[in-house]
Amino acid sequence: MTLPPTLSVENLTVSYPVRAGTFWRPPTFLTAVDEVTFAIAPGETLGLVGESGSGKTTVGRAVMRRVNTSAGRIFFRGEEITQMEGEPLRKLRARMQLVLQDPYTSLNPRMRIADIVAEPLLVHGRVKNTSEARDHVRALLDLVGMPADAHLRYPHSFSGGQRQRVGIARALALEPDLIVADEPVSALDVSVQAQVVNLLQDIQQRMGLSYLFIAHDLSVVRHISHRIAIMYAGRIVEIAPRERVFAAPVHPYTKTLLSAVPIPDPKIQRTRKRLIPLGEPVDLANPPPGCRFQTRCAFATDQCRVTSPPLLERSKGHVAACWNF
Amino acid sequence: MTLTVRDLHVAFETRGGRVNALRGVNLSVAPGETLGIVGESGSGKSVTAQAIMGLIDLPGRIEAGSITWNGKSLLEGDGYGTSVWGREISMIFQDPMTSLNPLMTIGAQICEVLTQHLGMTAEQARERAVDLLAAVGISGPRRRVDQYPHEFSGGMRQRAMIAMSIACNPKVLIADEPTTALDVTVQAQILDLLAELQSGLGLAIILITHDLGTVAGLCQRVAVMYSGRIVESQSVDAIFERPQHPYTQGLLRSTPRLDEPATRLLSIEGTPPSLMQADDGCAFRKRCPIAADACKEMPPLVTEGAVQIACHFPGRPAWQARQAG
Amino acid sequence: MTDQGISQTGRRRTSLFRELLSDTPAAIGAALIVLIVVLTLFAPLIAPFDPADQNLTARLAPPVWIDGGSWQHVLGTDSLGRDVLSRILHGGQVTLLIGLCTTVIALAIGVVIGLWAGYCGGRADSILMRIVDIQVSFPGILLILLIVGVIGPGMMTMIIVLSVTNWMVYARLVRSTVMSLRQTPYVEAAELVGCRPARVIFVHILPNLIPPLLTLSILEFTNIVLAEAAVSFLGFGVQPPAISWGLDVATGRDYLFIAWWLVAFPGIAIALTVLSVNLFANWVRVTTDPQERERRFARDLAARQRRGLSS
Repeated sequence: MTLPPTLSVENLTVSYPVRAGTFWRPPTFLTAVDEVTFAIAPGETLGLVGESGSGKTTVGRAVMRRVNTSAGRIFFRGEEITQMEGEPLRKLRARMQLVLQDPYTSLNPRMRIADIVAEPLLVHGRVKNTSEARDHVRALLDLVGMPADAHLRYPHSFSGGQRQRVGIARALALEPDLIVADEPVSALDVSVQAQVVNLLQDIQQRMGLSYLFIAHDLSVVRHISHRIAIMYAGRIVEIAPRERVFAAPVHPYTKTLLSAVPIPDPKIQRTRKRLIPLGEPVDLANPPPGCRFQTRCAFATDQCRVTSPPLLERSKGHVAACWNF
Repeated sequence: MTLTVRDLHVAFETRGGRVNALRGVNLSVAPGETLGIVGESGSGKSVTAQAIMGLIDLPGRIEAGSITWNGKSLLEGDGYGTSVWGREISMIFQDPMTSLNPLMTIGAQICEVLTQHLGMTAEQARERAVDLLAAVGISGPRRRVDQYPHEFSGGMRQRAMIAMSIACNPKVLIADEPTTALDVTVQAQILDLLAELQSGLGLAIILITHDLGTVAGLCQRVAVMYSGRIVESQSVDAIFERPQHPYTQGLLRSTPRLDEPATRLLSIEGTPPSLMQADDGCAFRKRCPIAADACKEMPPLVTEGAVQIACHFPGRPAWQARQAG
Repeated sequence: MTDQGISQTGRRRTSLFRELLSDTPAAIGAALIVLIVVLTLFAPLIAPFDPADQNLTARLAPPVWIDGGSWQHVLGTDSLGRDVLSRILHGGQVTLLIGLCTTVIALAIGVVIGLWAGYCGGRADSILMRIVDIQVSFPGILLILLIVGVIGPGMMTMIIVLSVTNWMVYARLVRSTVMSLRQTPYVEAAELVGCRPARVIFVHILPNLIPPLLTLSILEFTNIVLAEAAVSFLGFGVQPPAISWGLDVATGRDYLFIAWWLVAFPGIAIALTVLSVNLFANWVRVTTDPQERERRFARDLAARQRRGLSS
């Protein structure tokens, strides 16, 4: 028997009006996410990588039903949630949680750590007040490696890494099936990043939950993801098992991205050949026809400039959208 | 033509207590040299840059030490500092948007620097501004010169900032996390530009960053800061090959590398000490696996040839070698 | 920093008091406010006369330090021989009561409307904010005259009228703050955790509104005092035999050239109240803003160190 995927997204499209329409002018739309399709199996981590403006954060927010989808469908454990609203949506939130990027602003500075971690339990009626949740909160704080006396203190007395642990404890309180982690380590110091990434991995092994791990940084994503999806200008250009992305990237954009990541070794770094994208970043309000990357791609042909390439399977579990490779 | 910082102490008075941001920083840069200052948040790397630029303001104060340029002190109130800052020593910041005036064209902002500092006429300044934009790799500089910051992409803005900072032919350029706010592909280009400028103009560059990868490609010498002090300083090749200080060793092994297999990330356990607690010992000893009784005493920064190190057990491997897996 | 997690409220309160004392203008303002409140609150005990007592033999007596003045009427008497000092003490009761009630009512209306508009957004927001715009652009004094004309003058009318013309400033502040707070990550986190709107508003948003609202309402209080004085001066506000500072200025106007003290002393009372409240409000604003507070701390410290060096 196969379980349905924890999350599956079909042709997800999100567009925002960037300028309101007036009597004589229709509103201008910006398509932040354009026909994105992917699925995450139970216990799996999908890394979603892209630069600013790629739409990766919007995908995360759309999955969490925080922004409305313009087209496409979202399924959570086989159930369609694309249009879910009101009380059912609130109930659903118990089963999918978000870990935010900035640990300094994502915790209410006026609440004690215990109240922050107990809040999900409280609002979903699992406990009546914080003191009833005390043991549960202690266990959660212990799970994320916070000191035992943390629960009575306020966020300001903790470092960034510790605050992020509190954010993770809050997300774990209801034992969700899916955590959307939106750049959870990019605001942290290098030596602390590793602590948080390892913590997320350990928790996954213990609790079997799935992650959608959103990041701009390939080198961190590689350590936590089972599969990696690369986004460019609102579209997914390549999805592959993690080692395939690094060993055999197909899409020119993936290759460009890989070659840009600096390697902390002066001898290698000085002699590395880098692929440099041509021209200027894509204007999303006015995207080019055909492949979105064609204006910046050194290999673009006439076909690329006219028709957008479909995501085709290159090897098992490895799809890419490129006409040339 | 050297910039020398000797035994610099900077403290910030806050309601919660006194924050000792810098506790004796020593460094110098010679023409044509690139010095990387690497450290995590709170290590004092940005405060060092601000002190050099005369930007320490209430509640902060320079408590002790000296900063000299060509043998003359920048800290005396005789106006020597103001004649150097922005001309012979200039600086670029992490977020170009906050240092550019959104209501003035890029050209006008560069011209302002030129007419004020170099006494150029309006026409001369405009010609020079166009040349500068071309020099930092902005295509179509004649058209771009009349555009506003919001019409530039993030990378272009940082290029414009660099153009402005080299307008007065500085001898030293301080770059405080110049690529942190940028996308990976753009990061690489900005670093290339800095390297190009350095060899072309004979600039000395102080690159401040938290990222060892950034340092590896650009710098000749690296100083590692921890908790307000420089703990290790030596040539870039040596520091990556034979890191002496346990903190440098830990930082190197916790930086994820794309060219190595994706094993579990390694971290440095614990967090840096609070800068408020006056402590006479080595600041790293609570996180250091080889700390001993001797570490309760502050290790002095010992200079041996081109190597400076502040550790009682320099060169001793603090962690076991990374296991291939 | 790490060890002060468990708050020591007692110690904090004394240090807050010390912080107030170290800011001389604010300390003076606060002392004056306390003085004014105590004097008006205990007016019946302090005032030498009943403010309505007429003494036609001692009409228009000047203050004590002027020829013809006596210690009996320290600040002189008015055209009916009523004691000016007693009238000021009693008049303060009405003025401050109107100021307080109006501020609280206007604040309540403003916060509810502002929260509604800011949190719901969309159409509710557009409608509510257009109402605010209309009300703001409508001349306040005209509206006051209109309402007074319909329901007749008096203290209750004053409170209602001034509340109706003053809530908009709170609504605007609350709306804009709520809108920006909704974008903060921890409010987003609360919503995504599954908090119902009421909890998001009362636990996560409202506490952040208290500091700016406190400062604003203290400042608005002075506006109400001035408005009450103005409307009473025009004769549409508090009606005799009730007493208020504005009313006394108005009745004293006719005797301005022969008995300046009838206008001057109630006027000074108004000015002093407004000034002291403003001084205090400025301190509250700085104290509730962590960044400003930090800067003030550093400034004071630097000043103290300079003084230490020079002496």
